[in-house]
Amino acid sequence: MTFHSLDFLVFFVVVTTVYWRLSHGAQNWFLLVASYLFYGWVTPWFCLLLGGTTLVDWWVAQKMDPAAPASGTRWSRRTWLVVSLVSNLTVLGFFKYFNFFIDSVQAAMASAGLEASLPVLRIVLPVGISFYTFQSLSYTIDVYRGRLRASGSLRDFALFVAFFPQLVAGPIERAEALLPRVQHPRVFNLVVARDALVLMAWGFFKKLVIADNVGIIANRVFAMKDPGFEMLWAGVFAFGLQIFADFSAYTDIARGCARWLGFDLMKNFEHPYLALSPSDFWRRWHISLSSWFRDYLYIPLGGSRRGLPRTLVNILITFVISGLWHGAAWNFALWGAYHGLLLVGERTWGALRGVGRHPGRQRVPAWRVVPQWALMYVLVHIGWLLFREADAAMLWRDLTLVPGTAPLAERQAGLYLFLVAFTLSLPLWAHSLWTVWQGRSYSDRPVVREAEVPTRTIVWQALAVGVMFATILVLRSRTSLDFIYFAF
Amino acid sequence: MAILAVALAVPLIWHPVMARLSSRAVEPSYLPALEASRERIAFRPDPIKDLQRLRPSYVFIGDSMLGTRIDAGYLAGLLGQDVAMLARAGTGSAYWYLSFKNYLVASGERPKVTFFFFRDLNMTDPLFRLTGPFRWSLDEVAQPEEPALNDVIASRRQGAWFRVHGAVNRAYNVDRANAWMERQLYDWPTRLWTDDEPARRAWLETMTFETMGLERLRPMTDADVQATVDAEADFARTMPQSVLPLIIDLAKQHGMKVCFVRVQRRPVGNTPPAQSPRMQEYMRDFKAYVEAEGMFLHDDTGDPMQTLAMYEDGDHIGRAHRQRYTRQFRATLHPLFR
Repeated sequence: MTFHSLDFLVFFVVVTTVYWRLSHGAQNWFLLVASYLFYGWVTPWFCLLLGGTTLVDWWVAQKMDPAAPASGTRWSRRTWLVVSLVSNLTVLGFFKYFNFFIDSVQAAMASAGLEASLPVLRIVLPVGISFYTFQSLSYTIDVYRGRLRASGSLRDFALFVAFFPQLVAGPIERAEALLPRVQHPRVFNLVVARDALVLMAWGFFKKLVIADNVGIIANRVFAMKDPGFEMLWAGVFAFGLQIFADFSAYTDIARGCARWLGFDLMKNFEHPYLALSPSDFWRRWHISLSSWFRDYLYIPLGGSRRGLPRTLVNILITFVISGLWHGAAWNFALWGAYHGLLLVGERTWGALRGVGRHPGRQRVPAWRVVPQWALMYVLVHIGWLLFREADAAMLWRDLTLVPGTAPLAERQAGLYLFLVAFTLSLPLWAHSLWTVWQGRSYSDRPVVREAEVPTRTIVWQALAVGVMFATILVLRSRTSLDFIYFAF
Repeated sequence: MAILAVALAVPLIWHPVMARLSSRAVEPSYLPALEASRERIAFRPDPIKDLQRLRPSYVFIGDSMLGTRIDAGYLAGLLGQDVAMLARAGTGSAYWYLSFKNYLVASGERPKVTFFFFRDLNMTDPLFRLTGPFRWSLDEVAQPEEPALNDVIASRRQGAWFRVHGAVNRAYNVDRANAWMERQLYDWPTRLWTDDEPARRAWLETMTFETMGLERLRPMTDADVQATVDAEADFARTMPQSVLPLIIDLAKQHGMKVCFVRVQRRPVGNTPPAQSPRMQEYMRDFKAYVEAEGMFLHDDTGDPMQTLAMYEDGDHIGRAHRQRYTRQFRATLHPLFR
């Protein structure tokens, strides 16, 4: 079930209405069933995989909880962790990477002059498998590390893994944040619910008005076999807007839904296109995934504790794997490596200037803000070209294009597409600048009691939702596209 | 509840806003079953004059499936008779019916045969490419009133969801506001190089169909491949609620012959795409119906001469193979070209 469908609207209204009439235990059972219904709506067998992952990780965590009376030695706990890692990564690897692996082996053999016909299976990638696998894995690793007690309740743990608002495209929640919410009674808060409604409306607006409309431009440009420089970069610009609007829209709708149910999910985006450096970008883009890789891969590899050369290698490894997490194709690995190299460059530059291990956190002088922002914006979009262009020959061609060489009509078309995409993106920029001006995001407002909310705020909220609804009615794209991150 | 009430009330502002901003004449839709009043693009009569000047022996109607298959000039050369194309990419059977009625029939010309090119279920799916951006091209072939087509559309939009959709559209003046907003959004950049509206429209057409047209697309297996919904392959149920009987009735009234040509979808390897039993039955019923009405049906599917090498992106035939297809088409259907 997708958020921008009539099915979901009905589903959510029914779930929310029934949910708040139940006791805490019944709420959890109800949400669990609703989450599986949501996930298996189109392809019911996906639920088997989700259930299998849940069962294995719950059971493994019971076995290695260091505080449990029956917990074994450190060696046996490590063995259980390996069971969790192997089972999760095998399922993920099979469904996501099997054909990629076979294709790559075949290509390598062909380049060595060996002809081989290896089996290629028609494997359907279960939606959201990368997200819930990582969420579940973080739980078993945290239990192994002793940061978390194993959940005694299979129901509660299953709900933590399957919680429908964030199941298929994140944010990838940590058990230490989400499980206590599952385990403890929740109270309906009208102030939170109203804020959540604004957040959801903003999410739907970004998806239906911005992402789906600029997505048409990006898809059209990337379907061309020989776009000129101007046309290509208009398409990349549109794609950069599409992927941000699309993915952050999903997160906003997910966070809004969760708040209606008494949960608070983490932020996944912090105005990434305002970033001033590569490390700044990764503190703002897909925060739940970058922090996952930081905590469960980069730091265990040694992080920045073993000297600069090892730090740089760790960064590169982390980013190549992070790239491959997005999809089983070399362009994603290349995109990851590219961002890894940007960070390596930043770290090295920082070391040479002696500004410490985190040069991206240094205060930027006012005169440098705009040029540095523009440079970062361009660098991120070069990355989007690597991300979006799956054909290596086309990518090479794209990177060697020279401005001003295409026919006039095509250059005009490039400018035209850029301007249309830019016009559609104005609310995104306005939102980012408003946040900078305010000093905090709308969704970060502190929760106050209903009696303390001024009427003016409620009127503004109602008007904001109304204006977004009015615009969605009129400008929503007639070509509805799936959320991009469903593919990962 | 108050916040929801206000949020639902705010879009009502489209009524006064459009009354003030939408300065063009707003006309009642020729498809009231589908949409409310809105600005529309005027009917484009030029093809009628073109047909009267050319006096074609054969006329072809369709979308890019036709445009990438038949080379009209080449076919005219082979036949020694004139051939006219009423082809427009991104159109559906509603557009083809209106082209047939408002261009060909209205021109008074009576070609020997009129060919309609379609994919799978297109001829019995009048809602295909009817709404959203497609309505602008439909405007150009529609008269101020199209009661027969409207009846067909109405028969397809009887569910509760369609009624809710229609009520929301009317309550908030969505169709008019959408037409105006889209025009502003997609038009304003072109004002940077011309103020003349026909020139702007011509520029947008050139960009869509030439600068970014089919010829410029990469060879992609799945580009523009329209997935056929097997459940819809029910000829007896869908035919009466389609433009197919309208086309046939019109042809019979004016003593014209019509041939429907189902193009072959992209082959898989070098074998034609698989046909579900339902689809096969649909085509059998289609053929029986058309022939009983004295018309023709030709199905390219399974033609061993139409190999994968001929295809470019999706179901389109590559430019280099267009004449080959045209030649084969003429040879296969030579009784109709005598």
